[in-house]
Amino acid sequence: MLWVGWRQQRTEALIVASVIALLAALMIPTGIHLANVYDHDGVAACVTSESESCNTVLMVFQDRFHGLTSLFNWLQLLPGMLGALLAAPLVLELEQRTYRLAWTQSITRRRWLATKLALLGGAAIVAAALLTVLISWWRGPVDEIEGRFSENAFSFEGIVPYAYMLFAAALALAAGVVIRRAAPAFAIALIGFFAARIVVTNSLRPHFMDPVVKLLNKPPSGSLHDAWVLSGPSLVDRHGNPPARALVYQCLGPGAHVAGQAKQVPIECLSKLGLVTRVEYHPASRFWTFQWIEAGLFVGVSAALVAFAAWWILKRVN
Amino acid sequence: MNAALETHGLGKRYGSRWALRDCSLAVPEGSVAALVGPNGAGKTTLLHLAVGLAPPSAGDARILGWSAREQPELVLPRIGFVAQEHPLYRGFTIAEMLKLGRKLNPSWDAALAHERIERLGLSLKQKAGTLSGGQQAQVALTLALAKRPELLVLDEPMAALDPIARREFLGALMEAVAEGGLTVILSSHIIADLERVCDHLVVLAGGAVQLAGPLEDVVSEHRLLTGPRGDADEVARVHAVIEERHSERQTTLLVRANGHVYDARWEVTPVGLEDIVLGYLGRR
Repeated sequence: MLWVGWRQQRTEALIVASVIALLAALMIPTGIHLANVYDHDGVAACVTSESESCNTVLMVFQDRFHGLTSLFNWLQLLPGMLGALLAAPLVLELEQRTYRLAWTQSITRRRWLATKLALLGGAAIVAAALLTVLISWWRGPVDEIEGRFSENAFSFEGIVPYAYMLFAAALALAAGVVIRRAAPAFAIALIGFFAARIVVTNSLRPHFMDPVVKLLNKPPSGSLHDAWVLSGPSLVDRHGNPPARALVYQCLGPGAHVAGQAKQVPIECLSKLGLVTRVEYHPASRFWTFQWIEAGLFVGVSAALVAFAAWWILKRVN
Repeated sequence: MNAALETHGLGKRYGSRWALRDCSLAVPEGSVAALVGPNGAGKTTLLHLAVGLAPPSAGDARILGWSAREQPELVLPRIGFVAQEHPLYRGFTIAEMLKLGRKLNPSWDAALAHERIERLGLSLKQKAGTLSGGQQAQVALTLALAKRPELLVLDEPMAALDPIARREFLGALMEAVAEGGLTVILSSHIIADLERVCDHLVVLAGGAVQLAGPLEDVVSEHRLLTGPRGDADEVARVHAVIEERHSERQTTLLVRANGHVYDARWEVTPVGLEDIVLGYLGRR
């Protein structure tokens, strides 16, 4: 059965492999360039420093590669498409009614299904591993500066890409066994995948844990560079409310310059008025906790979808 | 006599519609049984229930004594099944289709498979998707035969075939049967073909079995009675009247005779299989 399963999965596996190879051909040269610039332009040395000149170096570096990093953010689409594509052979089996051939050979339907699911899951995990290694390596220098907790970095690294890929495959499978058409199942899986990703990223992920709220007398320094900042830094009064504009203008408005001499004065002025800087964030140390929670969420839903598809195949398809 | 296929009260419901209802029949081992009926009669449903592709809504089906749903590991290696439209993996070459057969079946007869493909004049490198309907049917039959099954189940195997391909197909089938140890059940709505190859008949219409038995008995038991116009009550008291037709002066009855027909009013003639089957189909 293993040979048969592989033979059926071959075309899709080759498509997925070619897409990843193409991506590698684009990412490896730019990634090497990025790493070179990072090492040789003194960027690496600046990551932990908080000096003014270093801030400029980091900003120049981030600006220079901003276009490329945003371009690669489109790769968020990839696990969804590849995962759904890998589920196609199983759905085609139903669409083309070849299951009537497969299920009347000497192996049981249960074993047929187990082999197919194992191959599908295996292919999805291998593809996800290649993608994750490639993208994490490419983003390495950027992550040193920005951390990997931001929306984009988080979704490309760690273990969540595996969960995304499995989820897309499971969704295509569940839709496919019910409607028995590969093309619409693929479309449904893509739409469902992106809807789920958007909802989880924007509405669920910030609440996996209670964010840390900090009230600071001065604007936060570099210590938050690798944290996931949900809101702030912003000025608030003693009660946590945004201050009246007039109050702030006393220190920062045009009139403030009359009294002001040095640069630090506005901050001192603000704290004298009882205004502080408020930041709400998840510290970088929570990265793996969040990774496990989000991966668990997607894998859990995938398992439910696969169980549904398996039940449907074993009991309802005839 | 053991039954290759035996069903008791077998039924299948799709929603509120019964595709097959209260079907009880037995196909003896070693026979070539024809399952005849119009489109939508429940033939495919019956065959799918028999080989375990579909779960029954009522009753049970047993192949060589086992249920294909409950003991697939015992039933599947013993059956060869060719579904309607004889599906093959389009992207597979014939060689790969045969490899599939070898990988999935412990009793695979590779020599038989290769010999049949060669005899059909097909190349092993040809993709299944490029074959004609008749060739696909032949390859599907090859896969089923090379499993060395005890029971071969064919669903409308000749529907897509032209008359020449049909004759070749039946020839191949008869050859396999002649080697012995093989029971065949095939469904069809072309009665003429079946008369040559089958020795057992099941007529299905409206989701119910109308007639089942050895072909010889079926043909010898049925008579056509022709006489002056009148009612059939007297005949019906002794014999089963399947169909009555009345013209202005004449009445024709298709009866399943219980012994001889002695009534001098009727002219008794033998009747062909096709007319018998059509009589039953007209009854529902």
